[in-house]
Amino acid sequence: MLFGGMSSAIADDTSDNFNFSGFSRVVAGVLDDNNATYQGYDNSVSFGQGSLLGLQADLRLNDKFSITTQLLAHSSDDRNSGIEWLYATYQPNKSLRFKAGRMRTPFFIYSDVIDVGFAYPWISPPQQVYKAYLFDYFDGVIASYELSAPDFSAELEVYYGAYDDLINNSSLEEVTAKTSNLRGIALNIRGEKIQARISSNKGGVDIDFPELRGFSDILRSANYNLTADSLITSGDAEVNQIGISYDELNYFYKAEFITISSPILVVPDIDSYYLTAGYMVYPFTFHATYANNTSKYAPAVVEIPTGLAPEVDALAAGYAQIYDNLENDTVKSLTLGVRWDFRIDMALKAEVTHLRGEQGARSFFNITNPAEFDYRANLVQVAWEWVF
Amino acid sequence: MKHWLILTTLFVFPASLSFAQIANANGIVVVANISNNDLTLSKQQIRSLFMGSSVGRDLKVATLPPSSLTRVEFNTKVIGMTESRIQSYWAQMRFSGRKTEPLQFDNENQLIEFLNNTPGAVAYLPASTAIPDNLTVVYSSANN
Repeated sequence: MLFGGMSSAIADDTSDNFNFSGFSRVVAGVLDDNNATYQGYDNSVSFGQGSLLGLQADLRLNDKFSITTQLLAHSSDDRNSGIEWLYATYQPNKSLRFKAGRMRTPFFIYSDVIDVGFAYPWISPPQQVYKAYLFDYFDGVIASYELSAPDFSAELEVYYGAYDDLINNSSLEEVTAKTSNLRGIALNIRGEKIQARISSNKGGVDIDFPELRGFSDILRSANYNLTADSLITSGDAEVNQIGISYDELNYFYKAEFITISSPILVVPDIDSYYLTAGYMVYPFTFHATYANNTSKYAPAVVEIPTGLAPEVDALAAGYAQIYDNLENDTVKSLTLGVRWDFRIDMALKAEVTHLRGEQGARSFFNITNPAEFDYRANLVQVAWEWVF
Repeated sequence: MKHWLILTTLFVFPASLSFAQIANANGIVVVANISNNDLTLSKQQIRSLFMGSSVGRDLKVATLPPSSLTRVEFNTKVIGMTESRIQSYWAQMRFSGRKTEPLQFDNENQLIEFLNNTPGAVAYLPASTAIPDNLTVVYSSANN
Protein backbone atom coordinates (compact mmCIF):
# COMPACT_ATOMS: atom_id res chain seq x y z
CA MET A 1 0.00 0.00 0.00
CA LEU A 2 2.79 2.35 0.91
CA PHE A 3 4.38 2.00 -2.49
CA GLY A 4 1.04 2.09 -4.30
CA GLY A 5 1.23 5.58 -5.76
CA MET A 6 4.95 6.27 -5.73
CA SER A 7 5.23 6.53 -9.49
CA SER A 8 7.76 9.32 -9.51
CA ALA A 9 9.50 8.18 -6.36
CA ILE A 10 10.37 4.75 -7.65
CA ALA A 11 13.09 6.01 -9.96
CA ASP A 12 14.98 7.56 -7.05
CA ASP A 13 14.37 4.83 -4.54
CA THR A 14 17.15 2.50 -3.45
CA SER A 15 15.10 -0.43 -4.71
CA ASP A 16 15.83 0.73 -8.23
CA ASN A 17 19.56 0.74 -8.85
CA PHE A 18 19.61 1.98 -12.40
CA ASN A 19 18.56 5.48 -13.29
CA PHE A 20 18.39 6.92 -16.75
CA SER A 21 17.99 10.63 -17.50
CA GLY A 22 18.94 13.15 -20.13
CA PHE A 23 18.74 16.55 -21.71
CA SER A 24 18.29 17.85 -25.19
CA ARG A 25 18.25 21.18 -26.94
CA VAL A 26 17.48 22.40 -30.42
CA VAL A 27 18.95 25.80 -31.15
CA ALA A 28 18.48 27.91 -34.26
CA GLY A 29 20.46 31.07 -34.86
CA VAL A 30 21.36 33.70 -37.41
CA LEU A 31 23.95 36.49 -37.49
CA ASP A 32 22.88 39.72 -39.19
CA ASP A 33 26.24 40.20 -40.88
CA ASN A 34 27.69 38.64 -44.02
CA ASN A 35 31.31 39.59 -43.38
CA ALA A 36 31.89 37.26 -40.42
CA THR A 37 30.54 34.27 -38.54
CA TYR A 38 30.14 33.95 -34.76
CA GLN A 39 29.96 30.64 -32.88
CA GLY A 40 29.46 29.08 -36.29
CA TYR A 41 26.43 31.24 -37.12
CA ASP A 42 26.34 33.18 -40.38
CA ASN A 43 23.67 35.25 -42.11
CA SER A 44 21.45 32.28 -42.89
CA VAL A 45 19.44 30.47 -40.23
CA SER A 46 21.13 27.30 -39.01
CA PHE A 47 20.19 24.62 -36.48
CA GLY A 48 23.50 22.83 -36.38
CA GLN A 49 25.64 24.91 -34.03
CA GLY A 50 24.14 24.33 -30.60
CA SER A 51 21.73 21.42 -30.89
CA LEU A 52 22.55 18.34 -28.83
CA LEU A 53 21.30 15.29 -26.98
CA GLY A 54 22.80 14.11 -23.70
CA LEU A 55 22.08 10.84 -21.91
CA GLN A 56 23.06 10.09 -18.34
CA ALA A 57 23.05 6.69 -16.69
CA ASP A 58 23.50 6.30 -12.95
CA LEU A 59 24.14 2.86 -11.56
CA ARG A 60 23.89 2.61 -7.79
CA LEU A 61 25.95 -0.28 -6.45
CA ASN A 62 25.03 0.23 -2.79
CA ASP A 63 24.37 3.06 -0.31
CA LYS A 64 27.85 4.47 -0.76
CA PHE A 65 29.01 3.62 -4.29
CA SER A 66 27.62 4.59 -7.68
CA ILE A 67 28.81 4.90 -11.25
CA THR A 68 27.71 7.65 -13.63
CA THR A 69 28.27 8.16 -17.32
CA GLN A 70 27.10 10.90 -19.61
CA LEU A 71 27.08 10.54 -23.39
CA LEU A 72 26.70 13.48 -25.70
CA ALA A 73 25.70 13.72 -29.34
CA HIS A 74 26.49 17.18 -30.66
CA SER A 75 25.56 18.65 -34.02
CA SER A 76 28.33 21.28 -34.10
CA ASP A 77 31.50 20.61 -36.10
CA ASP A 78 33.53 22.19 -33.30
CA ARG A 79 32.52 19.62 -30.74
CA ASN A 80 33.20 15.92 -30.50
CA SER A 81 30.39 13.54 -29.64
CA GLY A 82 30.94 10.67 -27.23
CA ILE A 83 31.58 10.08 -23.54
CA GLU A 84 31.54 13.37 -21.65
CA TRP A 85 31.65 12.05 -18.13
CA LEU A 86 32.52 8.67 -16.67
CA TYR A 87 33.09 8.56 -12.96
CA ALA A 88 32.56 6.57 -9.78
CA THR A 89 31.13 8.24 -6.70
CA TYR A 90 31.92 7.23 -3.15
CA GLN A 91 29.80 8.92 -0.51
CA PRO A 92 30.78 7.70 2.99
CA ASN A 93 28.23 10.03 4.61
CA LYS A 94 25.83 12.77 3.59
CA SER A 95 28.40 15.55 3.93
CA LEU A 96 31.37 14.03 2.14
CA ARG A 97 31.65 12.88 -1.47
CA PHE A 98 34.49 11.62 -3.66
CA LYS A 99 34.32 11.23 -7.40
CA ALA A 100 36.96 9.63 -9.59
CA GLY A 101 37.09 9.37 -13.37
CA ARG A 102 36.66 11.69 -16.34
CA MET A 103 34.80 14.87 -15.41
CA ARG A 104 34.26 18.44 -16.51
CA THR A 105 36.60 20.90 -14.85
CA PRO A 106 34.47 22.91 -12.37
CA PHE A 107 35.96 26.34 -13.17
CA PHE A 108 32.88 28.55 -13.13
CA ILE A 109 29.24 28.41 -12.00
CA TYR A 110 27.97 26.70 -15.17
CA SER A 111 31.19 25.07 -16.47
CA ASP A 112 30.06 21.56 -15.71
CA VAL A 113 26.54 21.98 -17.12
CA ILE A 114 27.44 24.08 -20.14
CA ASP A 115 25.54 21.64 -22.40
CA VAL A 116 22.44 21.58 -20.18
CA GLY A 117 20.66 24.67 -21.43
CA PHE A 118 17.70 23.99 -19.14
CA ALA A 119 19.98 24.83 -16.18
CA TYR A 120 20.57 28.48 -17.12
CA PRO A 121 18.52 31.41 -18.48
CA TRP A 122 20.47 32.10 -21.70
CA ILE A 123 20.73 30.19 -24.93
CA SER A 124 24.48 30.96 -25.13
CA PRO A 125 26.10 31.63 -21.75
CA PRO A 126 28.40 34.69 -22.02
CA GLN A 127 31.20 33.65 -24.40
CA GLN A 128 33.70 35.95 -22.72
CA VAL A 129 33.57 33.69 -19.65
CA TYR A 130 32.34 30.35 -20.97
CA LYS A 131 34.16 29.97 -24.28
CA ALA A 132 36.47 26.99 -23.83
CA TYR A 133 40.12 27.91 -23.45
CA LEU A 134 42.05 25.18 -21.71
CA PHE A 135 41.40 21.81 -20.09
CA ASP A 136 37.59 21.66 -20.10
CA TYR A 137 37.83 18.08 -18.93
CA PHE A 138 40.15 16.22 -16.64
CA ASP A 139 40.88 12.71 -15.47
CA GLY A 140 41.22 12.67 -11.73
CA VAL A 141 39.41 13.00 -8.43
CA ILE A 142 37.06 15.55 -6.84
CA ALA A 143 36.37 15.63 -3.12
CA SER A 144 33.59 17.77 -1.75
CA TYR A 145 32.53 18.54 1.76
CA GLU A 146 29.29 20.21 2.75
CA LEU A 147 28.40 21.93 5.97
CA SER A 148 25.19 23.50 7.11
CA ALA A 149 24.86 26.27 9.68
CA PRO A 150 21.57 27.84 10.82
CA ASP A 151 22.10 30.83 8.51
CA PHE A 152 23.99 29.40 5.56
CA SER A 153 25.27 26.27 3.91
CA ALA A 154 28.68 25.87 2.33
CA GLU A 155 30.32 23.41 0.00
CA LEU A 156 34.04 23.07 -0.42
CA GLU A 157 35.30 21.26 -3.49
CA VAL A 158 38.89 20.29 -4.29
CA TYR A 159 40.09 18.38 -7.33
CA TYR A 160 43.27 17.00 -8.82
CA GLY A 161 43.97 15.50 -12.20
CA ALA A 162 45.47 15.67 -15.67
CA TYR A 163 44.34 15.88 -19.27
CA ASP A 164 45.65 15.88 -22.83
CA ASP A 165 43.61 18.01 -25.18
CA LEU A 166 43.57 19.56 -28.61
CA ILE A 167 43.27 23.33 -28.48
CA ASN A 168 42.97 26.09 -31.01
CA ASN A 169 42.73 29.18 -28.90
CA SER A 170 44.74 31.31 -31.31
CA SER A 171 44.73 31.41 -35.06
CA LEU A 172 47.78 29.16 -35.00
CA GLU A 173 46.89 25.59 -35.86
CA GLU A 174 45.21 23.09 -33.60
CA VAL A 175 47.83 21.69 -31.26
CA THR A 176 48.07 19.17 -28.43
CA ALA A 177 48.07 20.63 -24.94
CA LYS A 178 49.12 18.35 -22.11
CA THR A 179 47.89 19.47 -18.73
CA SER A 180 49.37 17.86 -15.67
CA ASN A 181 49.15 18.60 -11.99
CA LEU A 182 45.77 20.21 -12.57
CA ARG A 183 44.31 21.24 -9.23
CA GLY A 184 41.61 23.52 -7.99
CA ILE A 185 39.58 24.59 -5.03
CA ALA A 186 36.08 26.06 -5.02
CA LEU A 187 34.00 27.35 -2.14
CA ASN A 188 30.27 27.79 -2.61
CA ILE A 189 28.32 29.61 0.11
CA ARG A 190 24.55 29.77 0.00
CA GLY A 191 22.52 32.03 2.26
CA GLU A 192 18.80 32.66 2.07
CA LYS A 193 19.02 34.96 -0.94
CA ILE A 194 22.70 35.40 -1.71
CA GLN A 195 24.97 32.79 -3.13
CA ALA A 196 28.70 33.24 -3.70
CA ARG A 197 31.26 31.02 -5.36
CA ILE A 198 34.98 31.56 -5.42
CA SER A 199 37.44 29.26 -7.14
CA SER A 200 41.11 29.02 -7.93
CA ASN A 201 42.51 26.57 -10.47
CA LYS A 202 46.04 25.83 -11.63
CA GLY A 203 47.60 23.43 -14.05
CA GLY A 204 50.95 22.79 -15.67
CA VAL A 205 50.35 23.20 -19.39
CA ASP A 206 52.71 21.99 -22.10
CA ILE A 207 51.71 22.85 -25.65
CA ASP A 208 53.31 20.77 -28.33
CA PHE A 209 54.48 23.39 -30.80
CA PRO A 210 57.41 21.98 -32.84
CA GLU A 211 57.73 25.05 -35.12
CA LEU A 212 57.83 27.44 -32.21
CA ARG A 213 60.40 25.32 -30.37
CA GLY A 214 62.50 24.96 -33.50
CA PHE A 215 62.49 28.71 -34.10
CA SER A 216 63.33 29.32 -30.44
CA ASP A 217 66.38 27.03 -30.82
CA ILE A 218 67.53 28.96 -33.90
CA LEU A 219 67.22 32.27 -32.02
CA ARG A 220 69.18 30.80 -29.12
CA SER A 221 71.96 29.59 -31.39
CA ALA A 222 72.17 33.13 -32.81
CA ASN A 223 72.48 34.37 -29.21
CA TYR A 224 69.13 36.19 -29.10
CA ASN A 225 68.33 34.51 -25.80
CA LEU A 226 65.72 36.97 -24.50
CA THR A 227 63.81 36.60 -27.75
CA ALA A 228 64.16 32.83 -27.65
CA ASP A 229 62.93 32.78 -24.01
CA SER A 230 59.79 34.72 -24.89
CA LEU A 231 58.52 31.88 -27.09
CA ILE A 232 57.30 29.95 -24.05
CA THR A 233 55.27 26.81 -24.73
CA SER A 234 54.89 25.44 -21.20
CA GLY A 235 54.21 26.67 -17.70
CA ASP A 236 51.57 26.99 -14.98
CA ALA A 237 48.25 28.44 -16.14
CA GLU A 238 45.96 29.92 -13.51
CA VAL A 239 42.21 30.45 -13.65
CA ASN A 240 40.42 32.36 -10.88
CA GLN A 241 36.74 33.10 -10.46
CA ILE A 242 34.28 34.95 -8.26
CA GLY A 243 30.55 34.51 -8.81
CA ILE A 244 27.67 36.08 -6.93
CA SER A 245 23.95 35.68 -7.32
CA TYR A 246 21.00 37.20 -5.53
CA ASP A 247 17.58 35.60 -5.79
CA GLU A 248 14.18 37.00 -4.93
CA LEU A 249 10.95 35.27 -5.84
CA ASN A 250 10.36 37.44 -8.90
CA TYR A 251 13.81 38.76 -9.83
CA PHE A 252 17.48 37.83 -9.67
CA TYR A 253 20.93 39.24 -10.24
CA LYS A 254 23.97 37.25 -11.23
CA ALA A 255 27.59 38.20 -11.88
CA GLU A 256 30.82 36.35 -12.55
CA PHE A 257 34.35 37.68 -12.83
CA ILE A 258 37.19 35.52 -14.07
CA THR A 259 40.89 35.88 -14.80
CA ILE A 260 43.15 33.57 -16.78
CA SER A 261 46.90 33.99 -16.74
CA SER A 262 49.86 31.97 -17.96
CA PRO A 263 53.43 32.52 -19.10
CA ILE A 264 52.68 30.63 -22.34
CA LEU A 265 53.02 32.78 -25.44
CA VAL A 266 49.90 31.58 -27.26
CA VAL A 267 47.67 31.79 -24.15
CA PRO A 268 46.74 35.43 -23.52
CA ASP A 269 46.00 36.88 -20.10
CA ILE A 270 42.24 37.29 -19.94
CA ASP A 271 39.91 39.21 -17.62
CA SER A 272 36.20 38.65 -18.27
CA TYR A 273 32.94 39.31 -16.54
CA TYR A 274 29.20 39.36 -17.03
CA LEU A 275 26.33 41.00 -15.17
CA THR A 276 22.82 39.57 -15.48
CA ALA A 277 19.47 40.76 -14.22
CA GLY A 278 16.30 38.72 -14.55
CA TYR A 279 12.65 39.43 -13.93
CA MET A 280 10.03 36.70 -13.65
CA VAL A 281 6.36 36.78 -14.51
CA TYR A 282 5.57 33.11 -14.15
CA PRO A 283 6.06 31.15 -16.41
CA PHE A 284 8.23 33.74 -18.21
CA THR A 285 11.72 34.96 -17.31
CA PHE A 286 13.01 38.13 -18.95
CA HIS A 287 16.75 38.70 -18.66
CA ALA A 288 19.48 41.10 -19.69
CA THR A 289 23.22 40.44 -19.64
CA TYR A 290 26.18 42.72 -20.23
CA ALA A 291 29.51 41.00 -20.75
CA ASN A 292 32.99 42.29 -21.49
CA ASN A 293 36.57 41.11 -21.48
CA THR A 294 40.18 42.07 -22.10
CA SER A 295 42.76 39.78 -23.63
CA LYS A 296 46.48 40.55 -23.62
CA TYR A 297 49.56 38.75 -24.87
CA ALA A 298 52.99 39.22 -23.36
CA PRO A 299 54.79 42.04 -25.24
CA ALA A 300 57.28 41.13 -27.94
CA VAL A 301 60.95 41.36 -26.97
CA VAL A 302 62.94 44.04 -28.81
CA GLU A 303 66.39 42.53 -29.08
CA ILE A 304 67.10 41.62 -32.70
CA PRO A 305 68.61 44.54 -34.64
CA THR A 306 67.36 45.21 -38.14
CA GLY A 307 69.37 46.21 -41.21
CA LEU A 308 72.55 44.43 -40.11
CA ALA A 309 72.35 41.38 -42.31
CA PRO A 310 69.62 39.66 -44.34
CA GLU A 311 69.84 36.55 -42.09
CA VAL A 312 69.24 38.63 -38.97
CA ASP A 313 66.40 40.53 -40.68
CA ALA A 314 64.82 37.17 -41.50
CA LEU A 315 64.95 36.21 -37.82
CA ALA A 316 63.32 39.52 -36.83
CA ALA A 317 60.66 39.06 -39.51
CA GLY A 318 59.98 35.49 -38.39
CA TYR A 319 59.59 36.66 -34.80
CA ALA A 320 57.27 39.51 -35.82
CA GLN A 321 55.24 37.04 -37.88
CA ILE A 322 54.55 34.91 -34.79
CA TYR A 323 53.17 37.94 -32.95
CA ASP A 324 51.09 38.93 -35.99
CA ASN A 325 49.41 35.54 -35.83
CA LEU A 326 48.29 35.92 -32.21
CA GLU A 327 44.63 36.82 -32.26
CA ASN A 328 42.80 38.79 -29.62
CA ASP A 329 39.28 37.80 -28.62
CA THR A 330 37.89 40.95 -27.04
CA VAL A 331 34.20 41.72 -27.30
CA LYS A 332 31.50 43.65 -25.49
CA SER A 333 28.04 42.15 -25.64
CA LEU A 334 24.53 42.94 -24.54
CA THR A 335 22.03 40.08 -24.51
CA LEU A 336 18.27 40.44 -24.08
CA GLY A 337 16.31 37.25 -23.75
CA VAL A 338 13.16 35.54 -22.62
CA ARG A 339 12.62 32.02 -21.30
CA TRP A 340 9.19 30.45 -21.22
CA ASP A 341 8.88 27.41 -18.94
CA PHE A 342 5.80 26.07 -20.68
CA ARG A 343 6.11 22.65 -19.05
CA ILE A 344 7.82 21.41 -15.92
CA ASP A 345 10.51 19.74 -18.05
CA MET A 346 10.60 22.00 -21.12
CA ALA A 347 11.40 25.61 -21.93
CA LEU A 348 11.39 27.77 -25.01
CA LYS A 349 13.92 30.59 -25.21
CA ALA A 350 14.62 33.51 -27.50
CA GLU A 351 17.49 35.96 -27.29
CA VAL A 352 19.28 38.71 -29.17
CA THR A 353 22.95 39.44 -28.53
CA HIS A 354 24.48 42.67 -29.73
CA LEU A 355 28.24 42.20 -30.22
CA ARG A 356 30.86 44.92 -30.42
CA GLY A 357 34.31 43.62 -31.17
CA GLU A 358 37.57 45.52 -31.03
CA GLN A 359 38.73 46.95 -34.34
CA GLY A 360 41.49 44.77 -35.74
CA ALA A 361 41.02 42.01 -33.15
CA ARG A 362 39.37 38.69 -33.93
CA SER A 363 36.83 39.25 -31.12
CA PHE A 364 35.49 35.65 -31.18
CA PHE A 365 34.39 36.24 -34.79
CA ASN A 366 35.56 34.26 -37.74
CA ILE A 367 36.05 37.18 -40.09
CA THR A 368 35.47 36.25 -43.70
CA ASN A 369 35.60 39.74 -45.23
CA PRO A 370 38.01 41.91 -43.18
CA ALA A 371 37.76 44.89 -45.56
CA GLU A 372 34.02 45.31 -44.98
CA PHE A 373 33.59 44.06 -41.42
CA ASP A 374 32.75 46.76 -38.85
CA TYR A 375 33.11 44.50 -35.77
CA ARG A 376 29.45 44.93 -34.88
CA ALA A 377 26.81 42.28 -35.31
CA ASN A 378 23.61 40.91 -33.78
CA LEU A 379 23.11 37.25 -33.07
CA VAL A 380 19.48 36.11 -32.88
CA GLN A 381 18.75 32.68 -31.41
CA VAL A 382 15.73 30.61 -30.45
CA ALA A 383 15.94 27.35 -28.51
CA TRP A 384 13.89 24.49 -27.18
CA GLU A 385 15.21 22.88 -23.99
CA TRP A 386 14.18 19.55 -22.55
CA VAL A 387 15.24 17.50 -19.55
CA PHE A 388 14.00 13.99 -18.92
CA MET B 1 -7.08 42.28 -28.18
CA LYS B 2 -8.38 38.76 -28.40
CA HIS B 3 -4.84 37.38 -28.10
CA TRP B 4 -4.23 39.34 -24.95
CA LEU B 5 -7.39 37.93 -23.48
CA ILE B 6 -6.25 34.39 -24.21
CA LEU B 7 -2.82 35.10 -22.77
CA THR B 8 -4.34 36.61 -19.66
CA THR B 9 -6.64 33.65 -19.19
CA LEU B 10 -3.83 31.16 -19.73
CA PHE B 11 -1.14 32.61 -17.54
CA VAL B 12 -2.03 35.61 -15.46
CA PHE B 13 -5.30 34.33 -14.09
CA PRO B 14 -4.15 30.94 -12.77
CA ALA B 15 -1.03 32.60 -11.37
CA SER B 16 -2.98 35.26 -9.51
CA LEU B 17 -5.46 32.65 -8.34
CA SER B 18 -2.75 30.52 -6.79
CA PHE B 19 -1.06 33.52 -5.21
CA ALA B 20 -4.39 34.59 -3.73
CA GLN B 21 -4.83 31.11 -2.31
CA ILE B 22 -1.34 31.20 -0.88
CA ALA B 23 -2.05 34.50 0.82
CA ASN B 24 -5.07 32.88 2.46
CA ALA B 25 -3.28 29.64 3.27
CA ASN B 26 -2.53 28.71 6.86
CA GLY B 27 1.15 28.23 6.42
CA ILE B 28 3.48 25.29 6.19
CA VAL B 29 4.93 22.92 8.72
CA VAL B 30 7.89 20.64 8.16
CA VAL B 31 7.44 17.31 9.90
CA ALA B 32 9.97 14.57 10.60
CA ASN B 33 9.94 11.00 11.85
CA ILE B 34 12.76 11.33 14.39
CA SER B 35 13.34 10.31 17.99
CA ASN B 36 14.46 13.77 19.12
CA ASN B 37 11.17 15.59 19.73
CA ASP B 38 12.90 18.87 20.57
CA LEU B 39 14.66 19.32 17.25
CA THR B 40 13.89 22.53 15.40
CA LEU B 41 15.50 23.66 12.18
CA SER B 42 15.95 27.20 10.85
CA LYS B 43 14.37 28.35 7.59
CA GLN B 44 17.80 28.24 5.94
CA GLN B 45 18.36 24.66 7.15
CA ILE B 46 14.97 23.61 5.79
CA ARG B 47 15.83 25.33 2.53
CA SER B 48 19.22 23.54 2.35
CA LEU B 49 17.58 20.23 3.17
CA PHE B 50 14.99 20.50 0.38
CA MET B 51 17.64 21.68 -2.06
CA GLY B 52 19.63 18.51 -1.50
CA SER B 53 22.07 19.38 1.31
CA SER B 54 22.39 17.20 4.36
CA VAL B 55 22.29 19.69 7.30
CA GLY B 56 24.50 17.11 9.00
CA ARG B 57 21.69 14.62 9.67
CA ASP B 58 20.64 11.43 7.99
CA LEU B 59 17.19 12.55 6.84
CA LYS B 60 15.12 11.27 3.93
CA VAL B 61 13.45 14.24 2.25
CA ALA B 62 10.10 13.83 0.49
CA THR B 63 8.07 16.32 -1.53
CA LEU B 64 4.78 16.79 -3.34
CA PRO B 65 4.44 17.23 -7.13
CA PRO B 66 4.79 20.68 -8.80
CA SER B 67 1.00 20.81 -9.29
CA SER B 68 0.43 20.74 -5.51
CA LEU B 69 -0.62 24.05 -3.92
CA THR B 70 1.24 23.03 -0.76
CA ARG B 71 4.41 22.77 -2.83
CA VAL B 72 3.73 26.17 -4.41
CA GLU B 73 3.34 27.67 -0.94
CA PHE B 74 6.52 25.94 0.30
CA ASN B 75 8.45 27.20 -2.76
CA THR B 76 7.18 30.73 -2.16
CA LYS B 77 7.61 30.95 1.61
CA VAL B 78 10.63 28.78 2.29
CA ILE B 79 12.67 28.15 -0.86
CA GLY B 80 12.02 31.64 -2.22
CA MET B 81 12.10 30.55 -5.86
CA THR B 82 9.48 29.73 -8.46
CA GLU B 83 9.00 26.15 -9.65
CA SER B 84 10.79 26.84 -12.94
CA ARG B 85 13.92 28.11 -11.13
CA ILE B 86 13.83 25.06 -8.88
CA GLN B 87 13.60 22.74 -11.91
CA SER B 88 16.61 24.53 -13.45
CA TYR B 89 18.50 24.07 -10.21
CA TRP B 90 17.81 20.32 -10.17
CA ALA B 91 18.90 19.99 -13.79
CA GLN B 92 22.19 21.67 -12.84
CA MET B 93 22.66 19.43 -9.78
CA ARG B 94 21.74 16.18 -11.53
CA PHE B 95 23.85 16.61 -14.65
CA SER B 96 26.88 17.87 -12.76
CA GLY B 97 26.61 14.84 -10.47
CA ARG B 98 26.19 16.88 -7.29
CA LYS B 99 22.76 16.16 -5.87
CA THR B 100 19.61 14.27 -6.75
CA GLU B 101 16.01 15.36 -6.29
CA PRO B 102 14.09 14.28 -3.19
CA LEU B 103 11.47 11.53 -3.35
CA GLN B 104 8.15 12.79 -4.65
CA PHE B 105 4.70 11.57 -3.64
CA ASP B 106 1.44 12.15 -5.49
CA ASN B 107 -0.57 13.52 -2.55
CA GLU B 108 -0.48 14.42 1.14
CA ASN B 109 -1.97 11.11 2.32
CA GLN B 110 0.84 9.15 0.71
CA LEU B 111 3.35 11.61 2.13
CA ILE B 112 1.97 11.14 5.68
CA GLU B 113 2.07 7.38 5.23
CA PHE B 114 5.70 7.59 4.14
CA LEU B 115 6.49 9.83 7.15
CA ASN B 116 4.79 7.41 9.54
CA ASN B 117 6.58 4.37 8.22
CA THR B 118 10.06 5.71 7.56
CA PRO B 119 12.47 6.65 10.36
CA GLY B 120 14.37 9.79 9.30
CA ALA B 121 11.68 10.86 6.82
CA VAL B 122 11.04 14.60 6.57
CA ALA B 123 8.42 16.45 4.50
CA TYR B 124 6.34 19.63 4.39
CA LEU B 125 2.57 19.66 4.98
CA PRO B 126 -0.12 22.33 5.30
CA ALA B 127 -0.14 23.74 8.87
CA SER B 128 -3.79 22.69 9.15
CA THR B 129 -2.89 18.98 8.78
CA ALA B 130 -3.55 16.80 11.83
CA ILE B 131 -0.01 15.66 12.62
CA PRO B 132 0.25 12.10 14.01
CA ASP B 133 1.80 11.93 17.51
CA ASN B 134 4.85 9.97 16.43
CA LEU B 135 5.98 12.80 14.12
CA THR B 136 7.85 15.95 15.14
CA VAL B 137 7.24 19.45 13.76
CA VAL B 138 10.77 20.76 13.10
CA TYR B 139 9.75 23.99 11.39
CA SER B 140 6.65 26.15 11.09
CA SER B 141 6.35 29.04 8.62
CA ALA B 142 4.06 30.82 11.11
CA ASN B 143 7.00 31.31 13.52
CA ASN B 144 9.43 32.60 10.93
